[in-house]
Amino acid sequence: MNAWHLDDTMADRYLDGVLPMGLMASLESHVTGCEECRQKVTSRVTPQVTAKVAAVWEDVRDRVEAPPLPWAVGVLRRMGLGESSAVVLSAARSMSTAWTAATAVILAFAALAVMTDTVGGTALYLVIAPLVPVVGVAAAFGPTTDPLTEITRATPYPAARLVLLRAAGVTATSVPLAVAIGLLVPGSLLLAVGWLVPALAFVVTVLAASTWVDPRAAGAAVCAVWAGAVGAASGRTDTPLTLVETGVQPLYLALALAAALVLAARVRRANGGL
Amino acid sequence: MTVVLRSVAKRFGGVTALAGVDLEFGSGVTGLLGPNGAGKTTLLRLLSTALEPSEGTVTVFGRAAHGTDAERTAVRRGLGYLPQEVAFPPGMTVFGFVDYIAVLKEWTSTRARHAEVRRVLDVVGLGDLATRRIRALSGGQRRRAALAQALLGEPALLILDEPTTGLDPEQRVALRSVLSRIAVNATVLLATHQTEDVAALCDRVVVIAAGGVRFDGPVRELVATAEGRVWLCEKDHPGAQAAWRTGSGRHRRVGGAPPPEGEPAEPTLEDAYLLMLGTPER
Repeated sequence: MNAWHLDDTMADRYLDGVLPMGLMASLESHVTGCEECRQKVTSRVTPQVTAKVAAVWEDVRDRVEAPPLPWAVGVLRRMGLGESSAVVLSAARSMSTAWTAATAVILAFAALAVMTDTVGGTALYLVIAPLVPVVGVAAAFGPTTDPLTEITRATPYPAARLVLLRAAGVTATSVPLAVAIGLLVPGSLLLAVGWLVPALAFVVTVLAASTWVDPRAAGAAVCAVWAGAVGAASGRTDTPLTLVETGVQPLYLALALAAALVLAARVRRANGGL
Repeated sequence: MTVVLRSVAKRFGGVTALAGVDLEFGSGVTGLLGPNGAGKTTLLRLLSTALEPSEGTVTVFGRAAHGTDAERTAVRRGLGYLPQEVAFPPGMTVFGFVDYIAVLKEWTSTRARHAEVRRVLDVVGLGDLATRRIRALSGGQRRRAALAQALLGEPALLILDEPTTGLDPEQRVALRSVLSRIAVNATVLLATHQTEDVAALCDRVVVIAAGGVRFDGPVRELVATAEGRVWLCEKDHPGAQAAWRTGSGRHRRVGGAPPPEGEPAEPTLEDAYLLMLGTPER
């Protein structure tokens, strides 16, 4: 039971914060436990202050409740990716921090293999680098890799946009990583960047093929064909780099364009639904 | 009418899941009853636009649900859908999951979206578990998380496939309260095996069996079809469509010939449903 209550003057001075610190603490404690005084103080708080407190509380809840973005999505967000697009990307398995870390480790081992200065080491890097974004894209969407496909299909968010956003997100985070690791390896610049156009062609091919088959199957097929090609090139010549020489790059570009046209036609035919 | 189906059929390869379905749904709660494999889930997936019909037309809010991209998008903007089974991406929190679906439902303003996410989580009683990872939740809590996303934006058409699966009695009653409030202004379609949910909540019931509509009307009319066909008796007699020993020790007999010493009993929706399905006589 409280024996005394704040008068109007004391309540005003308490709200203005002009009382000595000891008295403020005492009143704070009293107001917390006294309904009558709490109501008196509350009734004197201006709507602007109430709104400001509510906004601060909302911000606190946002920071506590909204899950942190995966590392790779955080990087894209700092580079200008929209907040809602960041939320969409965060739901893709291949955008998770664990996936990014695993990708970096695999690429690092491939780079170490190059340093052995053997045909096998170079071939290993050439197999892995362009397939990192391919595998990431294949794991980023589709009924078998996205457990929320059924719910997603019933939302107005365009399926084509979802797929392309995730593919772009995976590519944008995995490719620079692979290039950076490749550039750390002393030797051929061709090895570090020569696989970029093939990787683009493979990603678009997986997207186009995924309008017919499971993205994982499409990704596996592309991986198998590329690994076979690198293996064959390593056996026939001194180096598998012949597969990414300047002269053959237009072929990959043509493949990417053809796959993009097929993808566009399929998306249009499916009314954007995929 | 919010939803109109005309001559709708759906086939999966050589299997016909639905055939010749003509239905209309307006505001209020409609229960879809039927055995496993009857076609309830297929019907709801067609209405959610997740699946396209093999034949016939589905019109929602006056638009072709499987028409042009613009029409389908317009339909999707007004519906909330809870599938029969929901698998969650690993590592997602309750808030993160509902927030993700809110983005897909075009809630682009972060502040308004987060407020809406909190609202639906409070509605399903998960407000205090918002930061919990979904894999750490119980089955009933996961079901409520899945339900929360369907409630985003107070949809005009709410499609719920087995919403009470995994819920305890208290949670089921709470869900009924939520749905009855929503149904004042919205159309709620509820597929379930739980006849008590339909009896407690629905204005209308549709019984689906073998891909077709067996009954469509008020719940009381379905119950009335069992009048004079349910008895309580001291002994079990063969020939009933369904019979079981009750807690009082007497036997409840549904269908078949009247037993010699049988006392007529008040039929329930479950009795009428069993009779409607025409379970073979025992």
